[in-house]
Order: sequence, then C-alpha cells, then structure tokens
Amino acid sequence: MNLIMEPLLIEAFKDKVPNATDTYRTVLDAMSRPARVRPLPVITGTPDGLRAGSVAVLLTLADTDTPVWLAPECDTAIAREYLRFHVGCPITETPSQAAFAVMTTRSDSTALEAMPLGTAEYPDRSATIIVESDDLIGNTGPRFTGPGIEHYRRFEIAETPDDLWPRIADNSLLFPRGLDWIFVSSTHIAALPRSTKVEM
Amino acid sequence: MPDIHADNSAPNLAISPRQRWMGVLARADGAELEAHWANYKQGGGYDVLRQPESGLVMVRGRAGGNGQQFNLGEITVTRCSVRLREGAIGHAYVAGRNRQHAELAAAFDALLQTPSLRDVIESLVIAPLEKKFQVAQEERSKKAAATKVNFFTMVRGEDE
Repeated sequence: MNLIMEPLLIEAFKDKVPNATDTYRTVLDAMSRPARVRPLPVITGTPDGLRAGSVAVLLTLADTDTPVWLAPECDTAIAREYLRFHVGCPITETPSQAAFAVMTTRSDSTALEAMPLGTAEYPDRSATIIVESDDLIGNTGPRFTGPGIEHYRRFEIAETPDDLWPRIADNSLLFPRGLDWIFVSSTHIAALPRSTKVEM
Repeated sequence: MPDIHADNSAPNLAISPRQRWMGVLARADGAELEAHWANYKQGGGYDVLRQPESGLVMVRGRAGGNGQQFNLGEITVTRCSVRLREGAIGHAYVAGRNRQHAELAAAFDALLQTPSLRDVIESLVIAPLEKKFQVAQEERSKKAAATKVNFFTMVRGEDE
C-alpha cells in the first residue's frame, strides 16, 4: 500500500446540512439579484486548483447527476479527488456534457462554445459556468439590466477577459436557452442568470 | 452509473485483511473501542475528513443463503472518514447512530494501515474484539440450536 501517493484530502463543510443550506440561500439570492456582490456564508479549506467560492457552490449544488468540467487551471489531481470524495460528481473531459464548468479569468474560453445551452423544450438542460476571479467589484464596470434589477446595476471582476462581457451579451439573446454564470472569489459571490442583459 | 461489480475476476486478496479488520471494528462495542483508543491517542492524532453522519442502508438477503435476492429492510448506518497526521486515511461504516464509534473505527482503520503499528493493534485490539464477537455468536447459535424444531413429512401417500 502506497500511503505517500494518497493525495492530502481535507475536510469540506464542517456542518454539512446547515452549511449547504446557508450557501444555497446565498446562491439563490445571488441569482435573483443579479450582479450584486455578496459574501459567502461558509468558507472552507480548498484543494489546490479551486477557490473557496467554487468549492462552496459545488458542495452545495453538484451531485452524482451533474458532470463537472474543470478548466486546465483548476484541474489538479487533488481537486478531482476532493470533488469525487466530498461531492461524488463525475468529472467530465467533454464540455458538451457538463452541468457545471469551473474556470478562471485566465482560462481559455473556447470550451464555452461547446457547453450545453439547453433546448427550447428543456432550457434547464444547460450548463452553469463558475468563473473564479481574484476580486468581485460592485458599482463599477458594465451596466446590467433585467429581472431582479430595478434600474440598472454595475459589476466588474478583476482581470476580466476581453471576450467575457460580449459573450454574456450574446448569451442573453438566446433566452430561454443559454448559460448561467456564477462569479466567485475566495470570499464573495455574484451571479448573472441568462435573463440579465449587459450594456457595455 | 459504473458497475462496481463488473470485474468478476479473482478477488483482490490485498484488500481482504482490511475488510476483515473494518468488519471487526464495525461490530465492536463503541465503549470498548473508546477504552482501546485511550492507549493510542497520544500519537499524532487525526483530522476528520468527513464528520460522522447517519443515513439509511438497505440490507439485502438471500432465502436460504443462496436463493433469490430480496430486500430485508433498512438499517441506520453511521459513517466517518479521518486522516492521520502521518497521512493514512481511514474509513468506517458502522450500524446504528453512535458517532463516536464510527469516528474511532475510522481512526483505527487508518492506524492499521500504518505498517509500524499494524501488528501491535492487530494483536491488542482486533484479535481480542474478534474473539469476543465469535464467542458471543457461538453462544447465540447454541441458544438458537437448542430450540430448533425439525419438521418431518411422513408418508404422504399420493407419490408412488
């Protein structure tokens, strides 16, 4: 038995049910008030490759029925081990099968083109994209409008990739199909559902 | 879903000692494990990977031990996973909802994977617990055997 090869797994949510419930409430609030940055209620230790925000979202939302796609920046052996042990989700190499995708602001975004957008009959069969950034900044950046936003709201992430906001603008044209976006840092979360429009 | 039983080739003998001690630890009395643990807790200690949590598991049986499989019923099972500071990971699934029992069984499972400790724990903890379990089981079998009733069908007539 080779004990040294066993990756150093760490604990996930300490108090599973209340922690997941609190995080779920926060994700729900983030989705229903798009582009508003809010703190994560529970911050866990993270495996190499993933930030606390993505870990919290996956621990709360992902399960054995939701294949998770990891961008190369996030895809480490220990991250896979962690997700397999604590979440039980399949890790997929094929973007078109993903229910959740985790990427960073530095990731190559071409994989997004292949992510499932849902169908007209089943718009829920689309992927949710989790984008990791160093910082989520409110009240600056592009203006967002749509359901859950009274007039407009501004929101920006650190090191925004050039193609991100145009891509999200195109994405909202597909409604009711399209991708949903969750932005996370190590402490905060914000979301842009497909119904939110971007004004650049 | 992948079929974990798909590989029907020769059983992996390397894991069977571990299956044995995990079984012994799971069947042991929680309080007894606690008493044993007192002798080992001055070591490096452990971190909990998965806090003890209870759930239901369907117990299946076969009529007569080799008949059709059927669902006997659900039992409460508590599981726990720990990692020793030295690195070994231990898991435990024990019947009932004794969280402390599950945690200690996982800790012992991890210790037993540490080569330098295995023989000591095997002889001081596992062997006595196993012996005790076997004695209790024999006792129970004897009691049951004493009340066994054999039914005979005498000549029924219609055959031959």
